Amino acid sequence: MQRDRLKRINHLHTVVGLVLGWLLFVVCFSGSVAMLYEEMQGWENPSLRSPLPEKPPAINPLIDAFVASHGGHVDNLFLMLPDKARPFYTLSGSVHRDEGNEFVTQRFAATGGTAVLEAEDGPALWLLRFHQNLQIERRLGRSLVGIAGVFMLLSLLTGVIIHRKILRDLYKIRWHRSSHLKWKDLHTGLGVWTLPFSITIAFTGAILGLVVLFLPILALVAFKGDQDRAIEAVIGPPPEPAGIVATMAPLDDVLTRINRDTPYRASRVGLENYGDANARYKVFADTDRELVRFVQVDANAVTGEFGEPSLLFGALPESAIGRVYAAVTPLHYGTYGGALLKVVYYFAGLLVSISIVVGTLIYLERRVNGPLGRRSAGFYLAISRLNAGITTGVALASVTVFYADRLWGMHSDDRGYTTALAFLASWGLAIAVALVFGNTRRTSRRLMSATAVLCLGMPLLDIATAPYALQSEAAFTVNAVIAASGSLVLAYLVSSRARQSAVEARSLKVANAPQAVSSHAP
Amino acid sequence: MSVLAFLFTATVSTWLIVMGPGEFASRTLLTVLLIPFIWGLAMFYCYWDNLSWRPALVLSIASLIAATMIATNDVQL
Repeated sequence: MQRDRLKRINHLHTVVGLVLGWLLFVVCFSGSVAMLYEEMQGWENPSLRSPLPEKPPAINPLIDAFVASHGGHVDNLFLMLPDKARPFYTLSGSVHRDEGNEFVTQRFAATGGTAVLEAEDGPALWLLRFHQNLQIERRLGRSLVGIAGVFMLLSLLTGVIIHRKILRDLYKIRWHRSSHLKWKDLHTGLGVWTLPFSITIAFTGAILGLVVLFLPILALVAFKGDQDRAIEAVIGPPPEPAGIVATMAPLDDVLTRINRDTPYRASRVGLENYGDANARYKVFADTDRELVRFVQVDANAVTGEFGEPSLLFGALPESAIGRVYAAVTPLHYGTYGGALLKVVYYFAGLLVSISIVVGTLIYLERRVNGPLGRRSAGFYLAISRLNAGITTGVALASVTVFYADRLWGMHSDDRGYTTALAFLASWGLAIAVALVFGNTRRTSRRLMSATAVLCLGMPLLDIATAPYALQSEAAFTVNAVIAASGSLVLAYLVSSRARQSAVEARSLKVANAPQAVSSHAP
Repeated sequence: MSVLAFLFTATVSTWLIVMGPGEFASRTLLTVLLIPFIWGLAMFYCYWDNLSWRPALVLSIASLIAATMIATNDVQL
């Protein structure tokens, strides 16, 4: 390849990393944490954490009570069934009010019949939304994340082209050489080891994000701007209500038969036209046999009869394209291999995040301490401090929110507000600390130490404040992952300090060597 | 160049959805799957050719052709 062309591709790799490095880091890091979203939902709500009952309560009375409590004007009902990760029912729907529609959610204990437990969503959902749309306006945020996915793909492509000796660099990390060489090896090594994973999440993430951006374009051209019709054309129209009141078939019975007669286990149900003669139970079942998010089984909600399980929803055709598209969500969120796969995704996501940060460090190091760069060393130093604050701050804030929620937010009136406040305040504080204190390396180490200590303390807090901390599979998984993360950060800090001390001792020895010779001279 | 590549992607994607092969749902899905590749490769091509006039010309002409075909097609979905 021509030398100048390679240089240009290298430049593109650098520019993408610099311009979108922080955004990519934030998206990747929060995505790693959000990977355990389902497990965290059970973990963050101690009052809902209980063993699954032998005989669950009848479901229809729960739905009837929910609809009645909102004046009977609820549609788009959706029910999530209890499982090991979330041992409670979650029922949601759109309530029609004069001032507009309101989305409402209520949770029911899996053990307690119609006993209603109210718990707002905690940090798990907040962090998931932060990953999906940066907690800003949904379409804008999701589009930005989708665009970041495209640029990440571009960065991976250029990275593969500029690193010509990929296989040789797989095992090469020169820990005892200069910071630049160490980071360069780390960036390349992590990038290569995580390449299949990175391509998968960048590609699937780009699709999930850009759908929001391109859907209005499609709707504008094909449906004169009607987005609902555009969605309907792809996933199929909902059934029209007959306008005749009808008694619903017991949902428990339908779910029991689906679980018995198909190889799948129902996990959630969409209730269309509930209470109407033309009602439908849209049952979604988890599967570990196919690479799809859910298998769908449609049931007549009046007669209770159900059809053949479908791997694709709505009007999606049973074709290779349909199957590939259906694989996008499970591939992105690692839902096809149980909790263990999610843990693997979590750590792989963290490695990708580290690779992104190290890439930025390589750029800054040559400008803060070296001859490169058109701006002053002070400018690059300020960017370096900001980089330390933003990156280590996100990690610190992601743990702080769980403390804030457990000690304060869970008992407050507005749990979401508490989470947002705790996250942004701790992140802002970390950035301020990094900007104010001069030594970037030392500040980063201190912020990482604080994160590690908080990670190690969180399982202890959970055991002290919540039931079934060790018995509940979801709680145990989350506690173990948080403790393991803290331990790994601590291990890195200790080994890094040891290596630094060894390098300093060696430098001192070299510096003293001529004096020793001269002292023996006549 | 990123903006030009985006416009190219948007136009070609719309063309694929409106006039691509297969059922409407199939070609929509196919397009959604291709969008990240189309956009990423278009940007890559711009840099590959040194941000010269050639990528700009190629992407602009391709977008124009796709847009004309969409505009002249009587979309009945």
